[in-house]
Amino acid sequence: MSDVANHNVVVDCRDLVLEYRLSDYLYSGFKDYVMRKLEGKGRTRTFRGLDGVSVQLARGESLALIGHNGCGKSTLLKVIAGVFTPRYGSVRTAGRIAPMIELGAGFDVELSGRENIELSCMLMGLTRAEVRQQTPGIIEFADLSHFIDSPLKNYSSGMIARLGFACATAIDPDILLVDEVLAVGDANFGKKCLARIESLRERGTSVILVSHDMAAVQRFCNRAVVLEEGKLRFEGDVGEAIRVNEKIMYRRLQRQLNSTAVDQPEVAGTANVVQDGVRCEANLDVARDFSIELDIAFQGREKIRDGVTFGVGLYSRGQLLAGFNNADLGLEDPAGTLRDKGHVQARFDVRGGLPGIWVGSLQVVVTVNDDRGARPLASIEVASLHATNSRLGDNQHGYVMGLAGADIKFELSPRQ
Amino acid sequence: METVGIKSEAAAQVDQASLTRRMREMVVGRIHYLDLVTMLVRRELKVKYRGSVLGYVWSMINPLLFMLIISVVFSFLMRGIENYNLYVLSGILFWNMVTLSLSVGSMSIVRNGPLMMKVRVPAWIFPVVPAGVAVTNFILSILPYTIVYVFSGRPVPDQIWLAPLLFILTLIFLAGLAITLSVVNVFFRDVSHVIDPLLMLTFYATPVIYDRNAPEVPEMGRWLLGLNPFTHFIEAFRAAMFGGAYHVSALGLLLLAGMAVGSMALGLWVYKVNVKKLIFYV
Repeated sequence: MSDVANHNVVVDCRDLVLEYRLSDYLYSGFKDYVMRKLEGKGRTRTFRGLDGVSVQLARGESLALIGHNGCGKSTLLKVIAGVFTPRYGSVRTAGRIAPMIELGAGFDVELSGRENIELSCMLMGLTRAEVRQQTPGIIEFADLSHFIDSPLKNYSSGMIARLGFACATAIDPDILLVDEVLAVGDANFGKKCLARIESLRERGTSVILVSHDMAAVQRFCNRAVVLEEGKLRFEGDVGEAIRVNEKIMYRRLQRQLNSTAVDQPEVAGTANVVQDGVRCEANLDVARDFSIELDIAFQGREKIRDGVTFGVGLYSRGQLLAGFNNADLGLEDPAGTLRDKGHVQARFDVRGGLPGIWVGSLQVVVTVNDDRGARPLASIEVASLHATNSRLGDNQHGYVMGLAGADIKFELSPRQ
Repeated sequence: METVGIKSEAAAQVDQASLTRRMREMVVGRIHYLDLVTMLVRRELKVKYRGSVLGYVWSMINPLLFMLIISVVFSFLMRGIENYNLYVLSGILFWNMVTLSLSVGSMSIVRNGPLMMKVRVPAWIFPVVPAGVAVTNFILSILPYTIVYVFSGRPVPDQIWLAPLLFILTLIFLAGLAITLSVVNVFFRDVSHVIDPLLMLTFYATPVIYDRNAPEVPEMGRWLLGLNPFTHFIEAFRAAMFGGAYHVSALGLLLLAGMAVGSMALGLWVYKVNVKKLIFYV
């Protein structure tokens, strides 16, 4: 925390509490409202999207917000952007904010690119004079000089994203809020975007990045905040934050698995990590190719209905690395047949030497997806591995899986 | 517990920064919002007329077409009114302003909900934009009105100088109503369903195509029409744009000003009470 005090603080959130209304968050109409008031159901149930979160951001700092889906990271970003007003607590920001919650916010497809630049930039707080001054730069950066006077409905989604990014960064923000939007456009433009953010940072722009892409988080941010169910779980070093988040993800997956314990199916089989034709117990060298071999049979206790898919997913600490289901493999479930028994044989080939290959514990989860939604049926632990990777250092965790190929056999047998 | 000291020091810096920012916003912010409203109005007009050959000219032709239709259909019934086509046109110009701002305005916050989730924009801007569009439309149609007026050979109305003031009062009145309706519509979407029939009812309950003082209108009806605020606005407009028997007294102007201020006060109050909740319902 001490480094925050030494700098100029640009975002200061204290004890934020933000409540969403649940199920009955919207009266479907006046009649509904009156009926509810009469029945005494006027009070709505609320859900705390943020629960006592305090975060500070210093000038020039890059902060990552990470956590599971629905943990409140996007909500926090919107509070900082001024979109949401918190129920309790205070938000203070200094300087101009560029909210990249979605690229091209406010774009009108009927208008031309040039007109949309004005629209978008003015919505983000520029004056008309400033927009006029910035427009040539935006057009150049978005690389759209030939199309800038044709309506946006003729643009490809990549072109719109480029224009949106160019607008958001052209306002020369003091604070840049980025919500999972960097995965757009082609690789070249992606690089250009990163370079632009980099140069903004050098000029003192502070960045808050919401992302599930841990590689991007590690590359970009010098501090991270981990949220779980609206509460702040960790704040500090990025590597440490990622580990904390992993543990949370893992715990949540376990809990999810346990919650289906009533229908706990039987699963048997083997799942191994193999390198050089030998099964690895501990020391896997992720710099070289290896593969993961599965041979699993499972039988569910619950009656599984029509239109189901069975899936097998490979997880590391709650994060899905690879997965497939019977529909992917062209194994359709003929209508009317009840099935709950399956056999999976699969081999995933993983390319070695990639930066950020997972290591750590590895889990295979069998999932079923029917009209009640997707849920795990069972899981088995494959291996707990240590790995050496010069780029990551010993005992490090990374997140990108380089799947080179897979060889999968998947059988479903009818219930007897 | 060293963090406590550090936090308050940091907060002091932020306080100072946000104070200057707030002062800047007080001055620049208002101007910016005006800028933003005019930009959004221009955008609406651009989108509306994009791809049509005549473009803005439609804003002028349209009321004339309505005038033709209505004066042909009703001229037998309304023999008592001098220059009936002009009379109708003045009513239509006024009524277009009402429907444009209220029909679109009442749905504006809900319609812009997705945008409000992404950018920090004060929601009151959205209902004000349709009122701005309506005003622009009105200004555009003054030209054809003047042409028809000149051809009719009527003398210039005595109270024509009141027109700008009336115009501003009407704008405030409509913007206030639009803000109220658009906020209520966020919580009760019924508004968007009921607004068009309601406007149609109000159209007939307002002397747009007829004259409240015509001998055919019973005393009771005259009194009932007097309860409709639009009646007073349109009759004042007639005084400024049509003349004849129409005349606004100082008391009448005061009444209009009172209704305009009341409507805006209601709008701002409804807005202020609900502004923090809006985003969770849009």
